Amino acid sequence: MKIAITGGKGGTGKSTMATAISMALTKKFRVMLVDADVECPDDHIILPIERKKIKNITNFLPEFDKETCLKCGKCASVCKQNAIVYVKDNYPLLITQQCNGCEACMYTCPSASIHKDSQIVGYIYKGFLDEKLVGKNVANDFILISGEIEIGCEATSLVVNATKEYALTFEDQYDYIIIDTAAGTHCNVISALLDVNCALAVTEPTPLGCHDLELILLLLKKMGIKSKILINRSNIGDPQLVKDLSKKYGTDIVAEIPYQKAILKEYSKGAPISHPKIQEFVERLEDLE
Amino acid sequence: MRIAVASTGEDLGAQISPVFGRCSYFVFVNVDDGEIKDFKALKNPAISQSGGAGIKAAEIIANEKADVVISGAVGPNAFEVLKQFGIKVHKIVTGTVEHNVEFLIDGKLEEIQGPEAMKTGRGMGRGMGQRR
Amino acid sequence: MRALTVLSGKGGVGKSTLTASLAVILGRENKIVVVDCDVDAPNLSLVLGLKEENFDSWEEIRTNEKANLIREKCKGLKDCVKACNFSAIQWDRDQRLPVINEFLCVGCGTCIVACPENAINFKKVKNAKIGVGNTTYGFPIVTGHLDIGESGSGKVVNAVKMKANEVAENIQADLMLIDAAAGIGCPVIASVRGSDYVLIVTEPTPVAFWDLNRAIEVVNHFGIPTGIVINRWDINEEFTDKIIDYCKSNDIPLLGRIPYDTRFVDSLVNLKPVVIYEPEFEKFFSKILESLDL
Repeated sequence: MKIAITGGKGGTGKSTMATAISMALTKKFRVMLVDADVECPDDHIILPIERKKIKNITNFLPEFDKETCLKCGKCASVCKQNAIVYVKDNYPLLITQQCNGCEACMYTCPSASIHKDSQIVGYIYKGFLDEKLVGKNVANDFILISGEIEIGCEATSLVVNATKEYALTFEDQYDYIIIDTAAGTHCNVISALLDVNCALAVTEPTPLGCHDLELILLLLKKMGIKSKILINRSNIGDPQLVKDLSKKYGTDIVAEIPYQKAILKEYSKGAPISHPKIQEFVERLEDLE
Repeated sequence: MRIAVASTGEDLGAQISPVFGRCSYFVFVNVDDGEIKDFKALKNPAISQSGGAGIKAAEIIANEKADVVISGAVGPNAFEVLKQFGIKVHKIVTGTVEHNVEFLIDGKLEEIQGPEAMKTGRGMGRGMGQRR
Repeated sequence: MRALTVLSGKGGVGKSTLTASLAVILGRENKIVVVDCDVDAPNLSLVLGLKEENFDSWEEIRTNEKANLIREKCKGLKDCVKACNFSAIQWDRDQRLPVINEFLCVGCGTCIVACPENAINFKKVKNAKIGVGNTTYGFPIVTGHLDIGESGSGKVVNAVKMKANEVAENIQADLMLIDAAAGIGCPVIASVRGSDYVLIVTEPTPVAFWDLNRAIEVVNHFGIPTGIVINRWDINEEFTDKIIDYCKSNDIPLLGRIPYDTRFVDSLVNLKPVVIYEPEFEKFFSKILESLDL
């Protein structure tokens, strides 16, 4: 079962919950955690994991063959990213960072002078829990697949898609696949949410949290994804704000985790949190299906 | 020497623009023997570009065969384009297009070596705490 | 006019809280414009107590183009399906037509170039709106709001900044304060580009510190001066010291630090900038402004 942990607002506790839920699940099930927050993947920081890089994610980059190039500039005219600069009577100049790998230039070149080159846009990492810390059983039943974008690169969706695709090649070996998405509602979150069975929207009962919760619920509705709400720091603000949204969108609230300074301190030391309410929620997970 | 100036208006008396990629106009000034001979203004098509405006602007300037650009901040990509076509970048001073061109002719406009060199020091600037 | 961008890498560390309170203090003596570039989940205006329905104007914008099929021209050659690098075109066997997924289409136009029958063209898509409003603290705010499910947040940020420049020119503003999105992706890059200074907010946790490193790398690419503010510094004093050492060894100024206090949350719940809700906290923000050399 694929469950996305998302939320709209940054800092509501997506990664905290994704790692906590994963840890609670590993007691009985085989779990794959996919860190799809590729701009700032954090799950390997919260969990005691040493990631290992296993793959580069590359994207198409045009290579111009100067021997056959007609210097016509057609490639530059079709490039929507302004990644190709054409100055009359000069060879085209490529601005690597602007290129999104669409290949429009290659298709349009009248002299077939553009060939496939590549650039590294991100990386995929694999990580396992330390057996000595969690015991052999748990360690064997858990894997982290972490995607990370190259700094300065803008091909976020592509890196998310490549990370998910890689992770899903092992789909059959795991009972639960937990996908930790980025904050927000734009393309990298959309890519992470595609094809999941259910999404858990993590929010806090404040006007800001609820403003962003509504946006993510709208997105999930538009994408046709079944969703549930988890209220983090449930004892601050006004839970009625969340209950109103829950009613408006017909989305159940499945758990309420209160704020406790002790939890914050644990988190600040870089450890996954645990809470009886999370354990409770995990035990009812099969009902979500 | 052909000078491209990022401008807010279409003539020599227009105020210089502090931005490069999305300035309203580029004024191209031909200078010969230390004197302004003629000029032409081009409405900047890059202004409406939703991304890569600086690169587009640099392309236009290179196609117009300018030797020098007078501008405020130029981003790293645009700067690289200008560099590849051998176009030098000089930093603006407050004033009109004409004023800046004259300063350039007199060698008083600082040349910018790279995008990093655009920003000096750590502070935001002086005297912002008081209303002007 | 100068632009200062506030970013963080990690979400939820206090960007909007900081931007709002700095704006209130700066707005007393300067003409400023505040810009919310967190376009897919903008909430700076809420922190400043301004709801969307109370904005002065909203303008729809179309920065996105998407592929559009001209059915009658399609000869079922499937070149478009093969050409699309974003998995945005699927083949419908029953209809014998390509189906364009608007969620995934990035508007690159490769399918248009690849189609020998010119059966695909571009259509402009409304993907966002830009609002201009006046806060009760004496300065305007410009907000961008990406439509749900739409893409191209970087381009929307560029459009928001252009609008903000217009507003700034009208009021002859000295300063623009830009609140960026979380992360380091294209909307953040677009929020940083062209700014005079970047203020990075962090907190003393391993996660925020990791994200801080990534954020600094992005800013360094642009060669823009940077400073750091540590929020909730006392939740882990040891880690705060680690961040201070890091700043020293990397020659990054520490502009200030703000303690953990539940009144920060209370102020957000009450939709007031914290310096208004709890005036005794103003000293933390004034210290930051002092360090910024304003």
